[in-house]
Amino acid sequence: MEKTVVIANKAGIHVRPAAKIADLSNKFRASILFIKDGQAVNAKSIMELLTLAAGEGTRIIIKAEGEDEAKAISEIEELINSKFSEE
Amino acid sequence: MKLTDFISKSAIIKELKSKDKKGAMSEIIETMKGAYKVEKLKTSEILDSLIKREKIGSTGIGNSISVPHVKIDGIKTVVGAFGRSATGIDFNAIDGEPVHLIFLILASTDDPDSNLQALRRIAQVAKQPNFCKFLREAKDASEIMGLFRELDEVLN
Repeated sequence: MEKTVVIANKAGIHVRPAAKIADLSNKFRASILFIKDGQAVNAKSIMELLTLAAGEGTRIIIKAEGEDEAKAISEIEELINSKFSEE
Repeated sequence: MKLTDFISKSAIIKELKSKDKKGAMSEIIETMKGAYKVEKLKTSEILDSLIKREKIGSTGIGNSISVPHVKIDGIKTVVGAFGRSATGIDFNAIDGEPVHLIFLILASTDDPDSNLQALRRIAQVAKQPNFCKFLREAKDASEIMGLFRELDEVLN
């Protein structure tokens, strides 16, 4: 299952947003990838997420596979849209 | 962005005197002010924002690395520094381990993207456990800088 989202917070995915995404992703059994311009990284790893250098306005494809994929995608999308409570 | 694009040799501290997070960050900021000729920056203000941000969530990303970073006014482009601690510093890191390698980043408020590019490069470093080991074993700033250059060549 896939869903495209747009990074909404000004600072983009820096350390703390990456930590929040990884924490949330680790709650799910599904494998979760973040894909930016063809680069796919494991959303359960802060370091991997940071290598995307995804700034405001970046389009990310969230790809989840597993029994709880739908819930995973919807909760991660919500987190991204909440701007990680930064603004 | 390469490590050597934003960290100059004069901003490398081979052994931090401080044994705690606050002291270490303060020591690194002082070094940066001289290294990048930005003496006008106020260490206490930068330190306050860094500590405030650490409280929201630790920048200790694992593999003994932390990346405290903050966006400030008064600088044109992103600058970084590297400080090392043999004994280790408690950073409340995500893996619960002490931090030995601190990469401190000061980014310009006008340029959030350069902050992300610098973080990206440090995350690439952190993903290489062997490289972190070499960094901890390097004998002086020149050797550390040499390792940075080596890594910049290997990574895209």
